[in-house]
Amino acid sequence: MSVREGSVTGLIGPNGSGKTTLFNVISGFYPPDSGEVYFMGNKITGLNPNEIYNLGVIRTFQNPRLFPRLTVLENLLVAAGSRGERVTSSIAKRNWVDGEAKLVKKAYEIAKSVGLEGVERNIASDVSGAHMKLIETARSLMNSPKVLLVDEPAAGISYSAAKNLFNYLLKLKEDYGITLFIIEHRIDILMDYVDYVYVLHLGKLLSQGTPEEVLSDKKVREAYIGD
Amino acid sequence: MDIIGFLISWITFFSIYSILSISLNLEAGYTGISNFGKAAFYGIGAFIAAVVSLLVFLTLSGLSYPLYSLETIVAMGTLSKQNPVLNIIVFLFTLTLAFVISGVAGYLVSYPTLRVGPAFLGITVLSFGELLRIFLRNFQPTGGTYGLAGIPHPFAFVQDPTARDLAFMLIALTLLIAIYLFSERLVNSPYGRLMKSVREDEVASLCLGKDVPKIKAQVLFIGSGMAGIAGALLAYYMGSINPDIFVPSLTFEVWAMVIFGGSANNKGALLGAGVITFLNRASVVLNFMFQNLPVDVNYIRWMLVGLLIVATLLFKPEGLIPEDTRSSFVWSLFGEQKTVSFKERTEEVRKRVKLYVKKLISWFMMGGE
Amino acid sequence: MGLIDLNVIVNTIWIGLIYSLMAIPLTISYKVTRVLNFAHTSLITVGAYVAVILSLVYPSLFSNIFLALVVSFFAGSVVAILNHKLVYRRLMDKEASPVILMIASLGSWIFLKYLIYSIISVVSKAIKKDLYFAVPNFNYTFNLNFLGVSNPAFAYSLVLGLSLVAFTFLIFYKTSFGKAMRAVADNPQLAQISGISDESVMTLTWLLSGGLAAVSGVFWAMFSYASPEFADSLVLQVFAACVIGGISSISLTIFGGFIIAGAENILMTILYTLVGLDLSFRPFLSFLTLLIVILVRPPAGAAGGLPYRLKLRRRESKWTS
Repeated sequence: MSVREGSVTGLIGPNGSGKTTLFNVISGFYPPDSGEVYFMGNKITGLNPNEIYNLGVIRTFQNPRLFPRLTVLENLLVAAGSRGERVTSSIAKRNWVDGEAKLVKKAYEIAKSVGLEGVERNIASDVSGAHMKLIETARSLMNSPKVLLVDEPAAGISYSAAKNLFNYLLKLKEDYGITLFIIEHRIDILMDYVDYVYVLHLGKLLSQGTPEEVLSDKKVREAYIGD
Repeated sequence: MDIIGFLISWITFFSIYSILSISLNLEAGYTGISNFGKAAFYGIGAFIAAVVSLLVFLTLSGLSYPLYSLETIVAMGTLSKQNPVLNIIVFLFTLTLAFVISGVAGYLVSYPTLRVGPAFLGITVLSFGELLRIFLRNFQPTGGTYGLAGIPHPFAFVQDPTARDLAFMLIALTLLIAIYLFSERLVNSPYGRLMKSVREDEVASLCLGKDVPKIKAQVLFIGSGMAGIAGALLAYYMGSINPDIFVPSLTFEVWAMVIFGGSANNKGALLGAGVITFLNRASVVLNFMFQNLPVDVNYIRWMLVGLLIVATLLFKPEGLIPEDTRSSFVWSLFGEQKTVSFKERTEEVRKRVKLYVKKLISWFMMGGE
Repeated sequence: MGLIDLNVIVNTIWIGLIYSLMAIPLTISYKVTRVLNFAHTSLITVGAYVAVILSLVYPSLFSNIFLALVVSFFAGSVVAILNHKLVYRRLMDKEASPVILMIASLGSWIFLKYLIYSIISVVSKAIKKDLYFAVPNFNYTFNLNFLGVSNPAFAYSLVLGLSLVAFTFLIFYKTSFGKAMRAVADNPQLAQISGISDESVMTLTWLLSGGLAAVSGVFWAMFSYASPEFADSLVLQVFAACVIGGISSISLTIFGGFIIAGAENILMTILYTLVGLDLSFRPFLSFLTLLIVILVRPPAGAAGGLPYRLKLRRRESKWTS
């Protein structure tokens, strides 16, 4: 399987087909049973999740994993690196003060662009579920990602909100050149946005192609209906 | 009852315990590392200070008695008063050495234990501490169960014992202030955010690009190093140490300080240390005054410590002074003055004191009604 | 081997059995309740001292070892259950994390430890006997000379200890209660939906765990001696045995108990005679064994750490039994 740079690629399949597991393998969470993962020509299998993150391969979680006792703003700030995050340089404020101010500005901008406003100073555990999803999305953008592995972005939100989110993701792709690899259950929404689709079933690749090809593939229909 | 003496001893112990408490707070309160081996690093610092200082003094005088022997203690009695400069140099040197060695020990112990979750981490570090203690109990060169004595007080040349203790107290207090300021800086910087993210959700932190094992190792280095400094201070203050001081109960005393005073809050750490130190010193005094109680006062004190931990967790889990989520630098960027300036705060205090004094005076004037 | 005589081997077997008996209840209670009970050693001490004090104060009744064991068992159970009801249950109802529960257990530990100290202090002054270093006053009807050890306490504790281990296996694997325990251990929510009341299972688990720990304390006191500190001085070994068992498998915990006993005694003797390693290094051997196990086979499952926790997920099934 390969995800072309600059594309919007979809990953679909019935429940339990291994979509999230694939994301976990790519992002370094699980070691693969066999095979390798390459990013921009370099092998990344076996790297730790934090190393893969810093290469620009960033994933979101289906159920947002926020830091409950930190404020929303701090949740966003953690996602970006900062010079003040090194023990030695953190003691002297002047090392990181300017960087912090810039980061905060960036965080506010990104928060605004996802539709998250006014909650930045709230403690993360206090915000609503919908906001949590937005924070999760905003967080994934803080470190200038090259590839975003988005896990079910439309889960649990309304049709129009989902459409807005997908429009926003597309805009990101255009503006920042981010490649998108999206797991989504709501095929009706997904198919309007993707260039290419992979279909997983029971841990194996069942089908691939453009949205039209995949939707008309008999095997895919059987997998979903028989499920 | 020597009030001044009691106060000086209380403040000295308060300083030492506060350093321990702040160090545990950094590890457990901010970073979520359940370090049940604090006593071990405290002990390492103490023994390093004792061993090295005794060795230096003896070697410089051409003596080669075993460190634990009576001859050493007698010799140190005179040697420690001869050369004030030597005392102070050795003191400073061993303090630094204690920091480094305890810190490295913490860093090393973190390596295998980071592979496991909090339950195993707790067990392993606790076991490590017990291991060291049992080993030292049987290790003759450091005095076995009797430990070492004759440790050269940095101000041994000062004749008046109260002056000597006062000077030491000031040193301990200075170190405490330095460590407090350092910790405050650390936790209010982006690194502090990093620590908290590890505490809140290790996995998420890892997935957001943070090298979680390295962060934990760094924090353990700092925390253990601080504990080492505290241990060295203890050794010099008491003049003698033995392995049975550094028992798990001591570790849990420090935990009680952090939990009761308020975790993830340096002021809370100080408050906790203050309360526990008070209980500690009070039972020493009580034991001294009442010789024939059916139950050793210390036993009651320890039971109170245990109760404090359990009661706090049941009724006010964040501790007396809870985590202040808005003290970090980021908040000042919005002009939101949650943190009041020093001048304003002293003004506030001055106003309150005036009011209170006025009240007292009027109460007094009215004949105590 | 000429290096090791029968004495060392026999000692190792006994110590291994007792370590296992001390470690098994900790494993069981952790498996079912998810609380790593640091107050565990207090239960051991309670058991030992109940036997010691009762047998000294009422020798007519309690020099009978079986009666003393039964009472000690229940003393341990009561303390464990009270600890659960007053502390753990209330914290669990507030959805406290396992770390909080662990820390609370530390509070219990200190409290119980010095409560025991206080009681010993009062009682020993009352009966005018030193209880800080005491042995239960049992009447061993059979003067068994077993494997070259003339002290009958050895044979009694060995036989009774083995029976208890067998008894534990029986309960855990052959009774419906054991099945309920395993269900709650594996998946508490599912167990609850299936109609198993997790609170009654937990209470009975503490009964079993507290009782076993107490009895293991009596055995130690019989053949060695009881002191307020003896259980805590064994904390390293007991925890190490549990770690080797992954804190999830009873059989592996027993294996762990014997490994640690072997490292401490047989390995120590070998190193002492061969290399002249001072006997004070004994605890290092236990700790080293613990470290090696953690490094080579990091415990998987909920007790594992990260990122290795994540990489070992597929091996999890090997460690539950």
